[in-house]
Amino acid sequence: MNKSINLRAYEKAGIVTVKSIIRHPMESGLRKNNKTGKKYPANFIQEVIVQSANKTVMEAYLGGAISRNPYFSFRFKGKADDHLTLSWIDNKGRSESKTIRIL
Amino acid sequence: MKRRMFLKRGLAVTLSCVLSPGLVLGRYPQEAFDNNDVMGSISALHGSSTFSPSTDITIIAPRIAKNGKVVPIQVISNIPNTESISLIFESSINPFMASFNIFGSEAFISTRIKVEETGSLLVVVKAGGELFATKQEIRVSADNSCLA
Repeated sequence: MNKSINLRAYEKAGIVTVKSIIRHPMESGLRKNNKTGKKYPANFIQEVIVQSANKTVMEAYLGGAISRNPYFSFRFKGKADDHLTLSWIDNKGRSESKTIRIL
Repeated sequence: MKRRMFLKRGLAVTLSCVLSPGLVLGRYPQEAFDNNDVMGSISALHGSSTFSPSTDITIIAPRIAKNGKVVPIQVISNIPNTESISLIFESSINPFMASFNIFGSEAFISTRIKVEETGSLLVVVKAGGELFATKQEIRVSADNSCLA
């Protein structure tokens, strides 16, 4: 279930730094297969939502222009030992989420 | 036998309830992503395309991208009350790349983007209902384009 998400979060002086890599092809729908001349169908993550302590801390809307296996890092005001949940949903309606404890 | 089935089904139902993520859908700015025009996509997202240039936004990105498929970028906004950071690449077919909503915390975003051809990365920051922007050119050769 949670195999696609790598998630780390640590707190320092009241600021939590989150780093994550999601394994996903992020196919934009514009790239052509050189052998067949056909375009690879679009397959990319559209939304990433990160929640902690019952609050949304970051919300991302993505297009196909984000690299394969997308990497995100961001910071927010929080504290150690809180839970942090990252969820994603792609244009095909697939979704996954993972919860970790902030270190 | 019946009891086994009942237990199995009950477990499946409970698991699916617990595991389904609490995603809020329907706010995905499809028009902004579909728009082929830089200003059009900004107004599709924010309702207005008038922004003022700002020196309080820092973009850390390579001047020359070695690989157009993976270009690491960082954006730091020092504008107070930053609500959202949008990434737009001016020379792309679909210029609008991504938008990050930030909730009352540090305005810092780091990610990796794809670049088709040399152009400018425009970062639009929404803070206190106003738009601010800054840009940086990223050069990429045709061999290293993300479509190659």
